[in-house]
Amino acid sequence: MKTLFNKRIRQGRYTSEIDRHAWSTPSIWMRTTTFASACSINRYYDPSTGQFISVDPLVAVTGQPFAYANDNPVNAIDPNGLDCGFFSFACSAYDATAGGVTTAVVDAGHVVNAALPVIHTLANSIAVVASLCAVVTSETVIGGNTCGTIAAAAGGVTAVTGVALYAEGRENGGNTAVDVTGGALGGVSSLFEGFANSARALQEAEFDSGNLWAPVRAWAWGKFASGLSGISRFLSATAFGIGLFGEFGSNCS
Amino acid sequence: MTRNITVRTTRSWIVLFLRVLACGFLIAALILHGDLRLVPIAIALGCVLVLFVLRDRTQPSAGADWSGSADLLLKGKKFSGQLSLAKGRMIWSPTDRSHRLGVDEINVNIVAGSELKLETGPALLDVIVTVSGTAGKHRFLTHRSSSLKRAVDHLEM
Repeated sequence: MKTLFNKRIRQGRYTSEIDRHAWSTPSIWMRTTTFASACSINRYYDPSTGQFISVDPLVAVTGQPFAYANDNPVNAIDPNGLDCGFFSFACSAYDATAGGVTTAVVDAGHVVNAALPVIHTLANSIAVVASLCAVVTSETVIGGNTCGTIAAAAGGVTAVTGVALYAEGRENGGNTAVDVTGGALGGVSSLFEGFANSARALQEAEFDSGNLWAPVRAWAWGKFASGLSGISRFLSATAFGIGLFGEFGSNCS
Repeated sequence: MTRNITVRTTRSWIVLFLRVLACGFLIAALILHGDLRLVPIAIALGCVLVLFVLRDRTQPSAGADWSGSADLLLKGKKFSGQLSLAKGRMIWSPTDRSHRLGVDEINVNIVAGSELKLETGPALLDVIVTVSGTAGKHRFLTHRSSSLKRAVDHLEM
Protein backbone atom coordinates (compact mmCIF):
# COMPACT_ATOMS: atom_id res chain seq x y z
CA MET A 1 0.00 0.00 0.00
CA LYS A 2 2.84 2.34 0.86
CA THR A 3 4.43 1.69 -2.51
CA LEU A 4 1.13 2.19 -4.27
CA PHE A 5 0.54 5.59 -2.69
CA ASN A 6 4.11 6.66 -3.20
CA LYS A 7 3.61 5.89 -6.87
CA ARG A 8 0.46 7.96 -6.97
CA ILE A 9 2.25 10.86 -5.36
CA ARG A 10 4.91 10.75 -7.99
CA GLN A 11 2.18 10.83 -10.60
CA GLY A 12 0.95 14.08 -9.03
CA ARG A 13 -2.60 12.94 -8.25
CA TYR A 14 -2.58 13.38 -4.49
CA THR A 15 -3.05 17.15 -4.24
CA SER A 16 -6.53 17.23 -5.71
CA GLU A 17 -7.53 14.30 -3.54
CA ILE A 18 -6.50 16.14 -0.42
CA ASP A 19 -8.02 19.38 -1.63
CA ARG A 20 -11.34 17.63 -2.23
CA HIS A 21 -11.43 16.46 1.36
CA ALA A 22 -10.07 19.66 2.80
CA TRP A 23 -12.63 22.29 1.91
CA SER A 24 -14.90 21.61 4.87
CA THR A 25 -12.29 22.65 7.45
CA PRO A 26 -10.05 25.35 6.00
CA SER A 27 -7.70 25.65 8.97
CA ILE A 28 -6.74 22.02 8.79
CA TRP A 29 -6.75 22.18 5.02
CA MET A 30 -4.01 24.82 5.24
CA ARG A 31 -1.88 22.54 7.31
CA THR A 32 -2.70 19.53 5.23
CA THR A 33 -1.77 21.20 1.98
CA THR A 34 1.46 22.28 3.59
CA PHE A 35 2.11 18.64 4.33
CA ALA A 36 1.11 17.72 0.83
CA SER A 37 3.75 19.95 -0.61
CA ALA A 38 6.27 18.93 1.99
CA CYS A 39 5.87 15.48 3.38
CA SER A 40 2.38 13.99 3.34
CA ILE A 41 3.59 11.23 1.15
CA ASN A 42 2.14 7.99 2.35
CA ARG A 43 -1.57 8.39 3.06
CA TYR A 44 -4.70 10.43 2.28
CA TYR A 45 -6.35 12.48 5.01
CA ASP A 46 -10.00 13.50 5.38
CA PRO A 47 -10.20 16.65 7.55
CA SER A 48 -14.00 16.48 7.74
CA THR A 49 -13.72 13.32 9.84
CA GLY A 50 -10.26 13.94 11.24
CA GLN A 51 -9.19 10.52 9.96
CA PHE A 52 -6.94 9.11 7.30
CA ILE A 53 -8.90 7.50 4.49
CA SER A 54 -6.16 4.99 3.77
CA VAL A 55 -4.88 2.39 6.19
CA ASP A 56 -1.70 3.15 8.12
CA PRO A 57 1.11 1.18 6.46
CA LEU A 58 2.46 0.63 9.98
CA VAL A 59 -0.87 -0.50 11.42
CA ALA A 60 0.80 -3.59 12.87
CA VAL A 61 2.88 -1.27 15.03
CA THR A 62 0.43 1.54 15.75
CA GLY A 63 -2.74 -0.54 16.05
CA GLN A 64 -4.65 2.43 14.58
CA PRO A 65 -5.56 1.96 10.91
CA PHE A 66 -7.21 5.36 10.28
CA ALA A 67 -6.62 7.62 13.32
CA TYR A 68 -4.83 10.87 12.54
CA ALA A 69 -2.28 12.19 15.06
CA ASN A 70 -3.63 10.10 17.91
CA ASP A 71 -7.11 11.56 17.25
CA ASN A 72 -5.80 15.01 18.17
CA PRO A 73 -5.49 16.84 14.82
CA VAL A 74 -5.63 20.34 16.31
CA ASN A 75 -2.63 19.97 18.58
CA ALA A 76 -0.65 17.31 16.76
CA ILE A 77 0.36 16.54 13.22
CA ASP A 78 1.46 13.55 11.21
CA PRO A 79 3.39 15.01 8.30
CA ASN A 80 3.91 11.88 6.25
CA GLY A 81 1.16 9.62 7.50
CA LEU A 82 3.55 7.22 9.18
CA ASP A 83 4.19 6.54 12.82
CA CYS A 84 6.91 8.88 13.98
CA GLY A 85 7.51 6.54 16.86
CA PHE A 86 9.16 7.55 20.08
CA PHE A 87 11.24 10.19 18.33
CA SER A 88 8.28 12.38 17.57
CA PHE A 89 10.44 15.43 18.18
CA ALA A 90 10.51 15.84 14.40
CA CYS A 91 6.75 16.36 14.37
CA SER A 92 6.97 18.74 17.32
CA ALA A 93 9.65 20.73 15.49
CA TYR A 94 7.41 20.85 12.45
CA ASP A 95 4.57 22.13 14.62
CA ALA A 96 6.72 24.69 16.40
CA THR A 97 8.00 26.21 13.19
CA ALA A 98 4.64 26.02 11.41
CA GLY A 99 6.04 23.87 8.69
CA GLY A 100 9.39 25.60 8.48
CA VAL A 101 11.22 22.35 9.08
CA THR A 102 11.58 20.32 5.95
CA THR A 103 10.86 16.67 5.44
CA ALA A 104 14.54 15.97 5.99
CA VAL A 105 14.01 16.50 9.71
CA VAL A 106 11.01 14.22 9.79
CA ASP A 107 12.91 11.65 7.76
CA ALA A 108 15.78 11.93 10.22
CA GLY A 109 13.34 11.02 12.98
CA HIS A 110 12.34 7.92 11.04
CA VAL A 111 15.97 6.97 10.43
CA VAL A 112 16.73 7.25 14.14
CA ASN A 113 13.59 5.27 14.84
CA ALA A 114 14.66 2.55 12.45
CA ALA A 115 18.12 2.47 14.02
CA LEU A 116 16.71 2.12 17.55
CA PRO A 117 17.46 -1.61 17.99
CA VAL A 118 21.10 -1.10 16.95
CA ILE A 119 21.49 1.98 19.19
CA HIS A 120 19.85 0.05 22.03
CA THR A 121 22.14 -2.98 21.77
CA LEU A 122 25.23 -0.82 21.33
CA ALA A 123 24.38 1.34 24.37
CA ASN A 124 23.55 -1.78 26.39
CA SER A 125 26.92 -3.36 25.49
CA ILE A 126 28.83 -0.18 26.40
CA ALA A 127 26.87 0.07 29.66
CA VAL A 128 27.76 -3.53 30.57
CA VAL A 129 31.47 -3.00 29.84
CA ALA A 130 31.57 0.28 31.79
CA SER A 131 29.49 -1.01 34.70
CA LEU A 132 31.78 -4.03 35.09
CA CYS A 133 34.70 -1.61 35.22
CA ALA A 134 32.81 0.63 37.70
CA VAL A 135 32.43 -2.29 40.09
CA VAL A 136 36.22 -2.75 40.09
CA THR A 137 37.50 0.83 40.14
CA SER A 138 36.25 4.42 40.62
CA GLU A 139 39.32 6.08 39.13
CA THR A 140 38.92 8.40 36.14
CA VAL A 141 39.15 6.82 32.71
CA ILE A 142 39.69 9.80 30.48
CA GLY A 143 38.82 13.47 30.64
CA GLY A 144 37.71 13.32 34.25
CA ASN A 145 35.05 10.70 33.54
CA THR A 146 34.86 7.49 35.50
CA CYS A 147 33.56 4.11 34.36
CA GLY A 148 30.56 4.86 36.60
CA THR A 149 29.61 8.00 34.69
CA ILE A 150 30.03 6.23 31.34
CA ALA A 151 27.88 3.34 32.61
CA ALA A 152 25.24 5.78 33.81
CA ALA A 153 25.14 7.61 30.47
CA ALA A 154 25.07 4.44 28.37
CA GLY A 155 22.56 2.91 30.81
CA GLY A 156 20.36 5.97 30.33
CA VAL A 157 20.44 5.53 26.55
CA THR A 158 19.67 1.83 27.02
CA ALA A 159 16.69 2.70 29.21
CA VAL A 160 15.30 5.39 26.89
CA THR A 161 15.71 3.31 23.73
CA GLY A 162 14.26 0.32 25.58
CA VAL A 163 11.14 2.31 26.44
CA ALA A 164 10.98 3.57 22.84
CA LEU A 165 11.09 0.02 21.53
CA TYR A 166 8.43 -0.99 24.03
CA ALA A 167 6.23 1.95 23.01
CA GLU A 168 6.38 0.71 19.46
CA GLY A 169 5.69 -2.88 20.39
CA ARG A 170 9.16 -3.98 19.39
CA GLU A 171 10.14 -5.06 22.89
CA ASN A 172 8.12 -6.63 25.69
CA GLY A 173 7.48 -4.92 29.02
CA GLY A 174 9.68 -7.29 31.04
CA ASN A 175 12.76 -6.54 28.95
CA THR A 176 12.06 -2.82 29.13
CA ALA A 177 11.71 -2.95 32.91
CA VAL A 178 15.14 -4.59 33.10
CA ASP A 179 16.63 -1.94 30.75
CA VAL A 180 15.17 0.95 32.74
CA THR A 181 16.12 -0.51 36.12
CA GLY A 182 19.71 -1.12 35.01
CA GLY A 183 20.07 2.35 33.54
CA ALA A 184 18.42 4.08 36.49
CA LEU A 185 20.50 2.18 39.05
CA GLY A 186 23.68 3.11 37.20
CA GLY A 187 22.65 6.76 37.32
CA VAL A 188 21.64 6.69 40.97
CA SER A 189 24.91 5.04 42.03
CA SER A 190 26.88 7.76 40.20
CA LEU A 191 24.75 10.48 41.78
CA PHE A 192 25.24 8.92 45.17
CA GLU A 193 29.01 8.78 44.71
CA GLY A 194 29.09 12.42 43.59
CA PHE A 195 27.07 13.61 46.56
CA ALA A 196 29.12 11.48 48.92
CA ASN A 197 32.28 13.21 47.63
CA SER A 198 30.72 16.68 47.93
CA ALA A 199 29.47 16.07 51.45
CA ARG A 200 32.86 14.80 52.48
CA ALA A 201 34.60 17.82 50.92
CA LEU A 202 32.35 20.25 52.80
CA GLN A 203 32.87 18.38 56.04
CA GLU A 204 36.62 18.40 55.58
CA ALA A 205 36.65 22.09 54.76
CA GLU A 206 34.99 22.69 58.12
CA PHE A 207 37.41 20.44 59.98
CA ASP A 208 40.36 22.15 58.29
CA SER A 209 39.10 25.59 59.28
CA GLY A 210 40.04 24.93 62.91
CA ASN A 211 36.95 26.78 64.08
CA LEU A 212 35.55 25.90 67.50
CA TRP A 213 32.20 25.06 65.99
CA ALA A 214 33.72 23.20 63.06
CA PRO A 215 32.64 19.70 64.20
CA VAL A 216 29.04 20.87 64.63
CA ARG A 217 29.04 22.69 61.30
CA ALA A 218 30.68 19.69 59.62
CA TRP A 219 27.94 17.47 61.01
CA ALA A 220 25.32 19.94 59.79
CA TRP A 221 26.91 20.10 56.32
CA GLY A 222 26.93 16.32 56.20
CA LYS A 223 23.23 16.13 57.09
CA PHE A 224 22.40 18.96 54.70
CA ALA A 225 24.28 17.31 51.83
CA SER A 226 22.65 13.97 52.59
CA GLY A 227 19.23 15.60 52.57
CA LEU A 228 20.01 17.36 49.32
CA SER A 229 21.19 14.14 47.74
CA GLY A 230 17.93 12.48 48.74
CA ILE A 231 15.87 15.29 47.23
CA SER A 232 18.01 15.35 44.09
CA ARG A 233 17.65 11.63 43.62
CA PHE A 234 13.90 11.94 44.01
CA LEU A 235 13.78 14.85 41.56
CA SER A 236 16.03 13.15 39.02
CA ALA A 237 13.98 9.97 39.23
CA THR A 238 10.77 11.97 38.77
CA ALA A 239 12.26 13.96 35.89
CA PHE A 240 13.48 10.73 34.36
CA GLY A 241 9.99 9.27 34.54
CA ILE A 242 8.32 12.42 33.21
CA GLY A 243 10.87 12.62 30.42
CA LEU A 244 10.16 9.07 29.38
CA PHE A 245 6.42 9.11 29.56
CA GLY A 246 6.06 12.71 28.35
CA GLU A 247 7.20 11.51 24.96
CA PHE A 248 4.06 9.43 24.56
CA GLY A 249 1.92 12.56 24.65
CA SER A 250 3.27 13.86 21.35
CA ASN A 251 3.45 10.54 19.58
CA CYS A 252 2.00 11.21 16.15
CA SER A 253 0.89 7.75 15.12
CA MET B 1 48.82 6.50 61.79
CA THR B 2 46.77 3.65 60.34
CA ARG B 3 48.84 1.23 58.29
CA ASN B 4 45.99 -1.19 57.63
CA ILE B 5 43.32 -0.45 55.06
CA THR B 6 40.14 0.34 56.93
CA VAL B 7 36.81 -1.02 55.73
CA ARG B 8 34.57 0.98 53.45
CA THR B 9 31.95 3.30 54.82
CA THR B 10 28.20 2.63 54.65
CA ARG B 11 27.93 5.11 51.76
CA SER B 12 30.61 3.25 49.82
CA TRP B 13 28.87 -0.07 50.47
CA ILE B 14 25.63 1.38 49.09
CA VAL B 15 27.41 2.68 45.97
CA LEU B 16 29.08 -0.71 45.43
CA PHE B 17 25.79 -2.54 45.96
CA LEU B 18 24.02 -0.26 43.45
CA ARG B 19 26.82 -0.71 40.94
CA VAL B 20 26.71 -4.50 41.20
CA LEU B 21 22.92 -4.39 40.89
CA ALA B 22 23.07 -2.04 37.87
CA CYS B 23 25.68 -4.28 36.26
CA GLY B 24 23.49 -7.35 36.87
CA PHE B 25 20.45 -5.70 35.31
CA LEU B 26 22.40 -4.44 32.31
CA ILE B 27 23.87 -7.92 31.71
CA ALA B 28 20.36 -9.39 32.07
CA ALA B 29 19.12 -6.84 29.51
CA LEU B 30 21.85 -7.93 27.11
CA ILE B 31 20.94 -11.60 27.56
CA LEU B 32 17.20 -10.92 27.20
CA HIS B 33 17.84 -9.41 23.79
CA GLY B 34 19.17 -12.79 22.77
CA ASP B 35 22.77 -11.73 22.53
CA LEU B 36 24.23 -14.22 24.97
CA ARG B 37 27.49 -14.29 23.02
CA LEU B 38 28.00 -10.60 23.75
CA VAL B 39 28.32 -11.21 27.49
CA PRO B 40 31.78 -12.89 27.52
CA ILE B 41 32.97 -10.30 24.99
CA ALA B 42 31.66 -7.53 27.26
CA ILE B 43 33.38 -9.07 30.30
CA ALA B 44 36.67 -9.29 28.37
CA LEU B 45 36.32 -5.66 27.25
CA GLY B 46 35.47 -4.67 30.83
CA CYS B 47 38.75 -6.25 32.01
CA VAL B 48 40.65 -4.38 29.27
CA LEU B 49 38.94 -1.14 30.35
CA VAL B 50 39.98 -1.74 33.97
CA LEU B 51 43.61 -2.23 32.86
CA PHE B 52 43.31 0.98 30.81
CA VAL B 53 42.00 2.87 33.86
CA LEU B 54 44.79 1.59 36.09
CA ARG B 55 47.57 2.44 33.61
CA ASP B 56 50.44 4.72 34.60
CA ARG B 57 49.32 8.29 33.93
CA THR B 58 52.73 9.93 34.03
CA GLN B 59 56.31 8.83 34.66
CA PRO B 60 56.77 7.48 38.19
CA SER B 61 59.04 9.59 40.39
CA ALA B 62 62.68 8.51 40.59
CA GLY B 63 63.45 6.20 43.49
CA ALA B 64 59.82 5.38 44.18
CA ASP B 65 59.08 2.17 46.09
CA TRP B 66 55.61 2.14 44.62
CA SER B 67 53.88 4.10 41.93
CA GLY B 68 50.43 3.87 40.48
CA SER B 69 47.62 5.85 38.93
CA ALA B 70 45.77 7.98 41.47
CA ASP B 71 43.13 10.68 41.36
CA LEU B 72 43.50 13.70 43.61
CA LEU B 73 40.20 14.21 45.46
CA LEU B 74 39.77 17.91 45.81
CA LYS B 75 36.56 19.79 46.60
CA GLY B 76 34.39 16.93 45.42
CA LYS B 77 36.24 16.64 42.08
CA LYS B 78 38.71 14.09 40.76
CA PHE B 79 41.96 15.06 39.07
CA SER B 80 43.90 12.24 37.45
CA GLY B 81 47.60 11.75 38.08
CA GLN B 82 50.29 9.41 39.32
CA LEU B 83 51.07 8.74 42.97
CA SER B 84 54.57 7.67 43.97
CA LEU B 85 55.73 6.57 47.39
CA ALA B 86 59.40 6.92 48.20
CA LYS B 87 61.26 6.79 51.49
CA GLY B 88 59.82 9.61 53.60
CA ARG B 89 58.04 11.20 50.64
CA MET B 90 54.75 11.00 48.81
CA ILE B 91 54.61 12.62 45.37
CA TRP B 92 51.52 13.09 43.24
CA SER B 93 52.16 14.20 39.67
CA PRO B 94 49.19 15.57 37.69
CA THR B 95 48.42 14.57 34.12
CA ASP B 96 48.54 17.27 31.46
CA ARG B 97 44.77 17.69 31.73
CA SER B 98 44.86 18.10 35.52
CA HIS B 99 47.75 20.55 35.13
CA ARG B 100 45.71 22.57 32.65
CA LEU B 101 42.91 22.67 35.22
CA GLY B 102 45.28 24.39 37.61
CA VAL B 103 46.42 21.50 39.79
CA ASP B 104 50.16 21.35 40.48
CA GLU B 105 52.40 18.57 41.72
CA ILE B 106 52.00 17.67 45.37
CA ASN B 107 55.09 16.68 47.29
CA VAL B 108 54.48 15.67 50.89
CA ASN B 109 57.33 15.03 53.29
CA ILE B 110 56.31 12.25 55.61
CA VAL B 111 57.78 13.31 58.92
CA ALA B 112 57.06 12.52 62.54
CA GLY B 113 53.55 13.71 63.31
CA SER B 114 52.27 13.10 59.82
CA GLU B 115 49.17 11.02 59.61
CA LEU B 116 48.50 8.50 56.89
CA LYS B 117 45.16 6.76 56.55
CA LEU B 118 44.10 4.11 54.06
CA GLU B 119 40.47 3.20 53.52
CA THR B 120 38.62 1.24 50.89
CA GLY B 121 36.49 3.18 48.40
CA PRO B 122 33.22 2.51 46.62
CA ALA B 123 34.69 -0.01 44.15
CA LEU B 124 36.42 -3.33 44.81
CA LEU B 125 39.99 -2.16 44.17
CA ASP B 126 39.59 1.41 45.44
CA VAL B 127 41.88 2.65 48.16
CA ILE B 128 41.61 6.20 49.45
CA VAL B 129 44.89 7.49 50.83
CA THR B 130 44.60 10.43 53.20
CA VAL B 131 47.82 12.12 54.24
CA SER B 132 47.94 14.95 56.75
CA GLY B 133 51.05 16.86 57.55
CA THR B 134 52.48 20.31 57.80
CA ALA B 135 51.48 21.03 54.18
CA GLY B 136 47.83 20.25 54.91
CA LYS B 137 45.63 17.33 54.15
CA HIS B 138 45.48 15.56 50.79
CA ARG B 139 43.29 12.71 49.63
CA PHE B 140 44.08 10.39 46.74
CA LEU B 141 42.02 7.65 45.16
CA THR B 142 44.19 4.81 44.00
CA HIS B 143 43.91 1.04 43.73
CA ARG B 144 44.74 -1.83 46.02
CA SER B 145 47.89 -3.87 45.50
CA SER B 146 50.22 -5.85 47.72
CA SER B 147 53.13 -3.61 46.77
CA LEU B 148 51.20 -0.53 47.94
CA LYS B 149 50.89 -1.97 51.42
CA ARG B 150 54.61 -2.82 51.48
CA ALA B 151 55.51 0.68 50.28
CA VAL B 152 53.36 2.25 53.00
CA ASP B 153 55.05 0.05 55.57
CA HIS B 154 58.43 1.32 54.36
CA LEU B 155 57.45 4.96 54.76
CA GLU B 156 59.30 6.44 57.71
CA MET B 157 57.28 8.55 60.06
